[in-house]
Amino acid sequence: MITPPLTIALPKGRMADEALTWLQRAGWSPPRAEDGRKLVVPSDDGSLNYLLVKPMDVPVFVEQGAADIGIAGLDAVRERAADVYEPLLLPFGQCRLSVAAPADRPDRPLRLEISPRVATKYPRLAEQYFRGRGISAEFIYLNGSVELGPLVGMADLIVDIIQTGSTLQANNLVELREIMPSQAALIVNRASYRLHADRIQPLLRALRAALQEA
Amino acid sequence: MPPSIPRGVADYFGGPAQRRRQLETALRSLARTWGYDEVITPIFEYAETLLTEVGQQLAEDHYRFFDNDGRLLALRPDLTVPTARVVGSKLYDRPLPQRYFYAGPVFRTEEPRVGRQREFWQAGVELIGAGSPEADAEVLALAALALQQVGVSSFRFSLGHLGYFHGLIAHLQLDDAAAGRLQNALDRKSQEDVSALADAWNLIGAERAAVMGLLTLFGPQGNGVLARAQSLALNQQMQAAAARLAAVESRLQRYGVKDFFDIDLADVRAMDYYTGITFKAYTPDIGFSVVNGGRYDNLVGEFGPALPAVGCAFYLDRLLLAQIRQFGPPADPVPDMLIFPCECGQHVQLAAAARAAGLVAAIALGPEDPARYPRRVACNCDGSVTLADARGMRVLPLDDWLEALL
Repeated sequence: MITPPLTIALPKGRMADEALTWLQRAGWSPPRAEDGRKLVVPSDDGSLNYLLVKPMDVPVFVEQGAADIGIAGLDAVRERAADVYEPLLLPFGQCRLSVAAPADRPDRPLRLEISPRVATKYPRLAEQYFRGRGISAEFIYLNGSVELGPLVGMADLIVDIIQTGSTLQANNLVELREIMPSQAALIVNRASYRLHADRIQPLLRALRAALQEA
Repeated sequence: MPPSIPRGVADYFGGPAQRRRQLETALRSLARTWGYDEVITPIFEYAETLLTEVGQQLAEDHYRFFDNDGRLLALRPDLTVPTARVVGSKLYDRPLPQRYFYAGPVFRTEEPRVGRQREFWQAGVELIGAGSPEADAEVLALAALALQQVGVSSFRFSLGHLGYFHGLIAHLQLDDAAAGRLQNALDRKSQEDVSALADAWNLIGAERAAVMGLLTLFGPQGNGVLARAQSLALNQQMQAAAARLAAVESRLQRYGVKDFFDIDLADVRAMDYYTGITFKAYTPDIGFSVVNGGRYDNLVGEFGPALPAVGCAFYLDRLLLAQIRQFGPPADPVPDMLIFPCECGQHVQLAAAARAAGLVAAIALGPEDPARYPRRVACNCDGSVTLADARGMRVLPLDDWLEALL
């Protein structure tokens, strides 16, 4: 019987490059150099299949078993509430999910807000945060350019990822509270972890060794 | 009327409906040959019945509503608790052990996802009144055989023992909140989070090794997992759990199903009522378990005399989904033959004879497309029958036509 290749979901964009650097350092077979627009790329030796998907969708592909392994930000794993294993944290993609507001917002605690309008790409985590503090916020779900919300008067606050803070600054916003720190994590489907243990465990060990070496 | 249906429920028809019943029937027949008799319990019960102290964890996702007399009711979220209620309150003095099979819909208010509806079907077995490793092995072997028999591809079982984790918590004297954090980190197999907790609790030496080692106590049997578990054990409870798994393992070998099982002592997500071994089965193409089970020695005692028990539930919807993904969707059933009505009225007897012989026969009522039916039969009202099938058209004697088909 031919063993089908293991499928690895990678987040499209800058995290994919760093992920591939680490995977190759650990000796995982790299994706074949092919047409850059292809979404499924086999590895050089055919043992792996790489999927390129939206960062926020990586946890979903892995949870559903469409990918056996994925590399995703913890922010995405928590936002999608993905029921997956997270055996390894990876040393890139560091950022934090935070509440931010216009710099000219009056200096008063968040808990005194009655019903703030919150623009975000993270409806689940944002709602969890505000509801957990007894604030009945209204959420405006956006797919990008969340910083625009307060600028155009559509939102009072935003919940978004902050890396350096320069985007906030450029849009005249300030960080109020950190909701959670985030970084890249290697995630594994719960069934694959068992069904393909003989292949996944060595990959994990190699990656863990490469991380420790660095 | 709006055509919509509530979230988390589904209609089944055609091939999938038939296949789901076949799955249930196959499991019931297999269980019967092992001596498991069916127990049929109500769809809803008093909410407090389903909220036994050991099963509190289920409470949040129960469907609850009021009876006309104001009593709080709940739809059953599983069939283990109702079965335990029946045995604990009514059947406790029958000869032990008792073996029960059940099948039916259960309800949880979970956010619906693929393979996780709010109404879903479970079939399962409960072996009550036997606390031995033989009893554990019987249920495990039955579950493995059942998956083989219903034709699910290359499945694997993960087998753990909650006593190992509980022993660790007791030794470290962790309170509920701390134990919950460790359980959560183990459940995600997050080595960093487990090690952060070990740091936070200032664990050193054997205690640190036991906590950090939990995540490595995973793998196929026979590769030394249980020996390592023994050497990491901090107290008698942990040792006993590892020894129990070894005892179960040797019995699985006798059943010839040992190779389906991996040990995973860090698999700590389970119903609150489990006290001993726990297990889950996985199959490719489905990202989540298709069988869940374990030992629950304190549950029957909630309703009557304490009796040890072990059992498991098959998720029929997920098994169906696995079969569909692995082998394609089942074809919609079509009758074996279409029988055209005739002047003399013999067509009714033709249909009756075919049905008695185990064939599916439909009498044409007008709207049928005869081409859909593999066989078409018409009575010629002269003692002969015309039969058309893939081999062509034939005229057969009326008293002999069926033999030509069998």
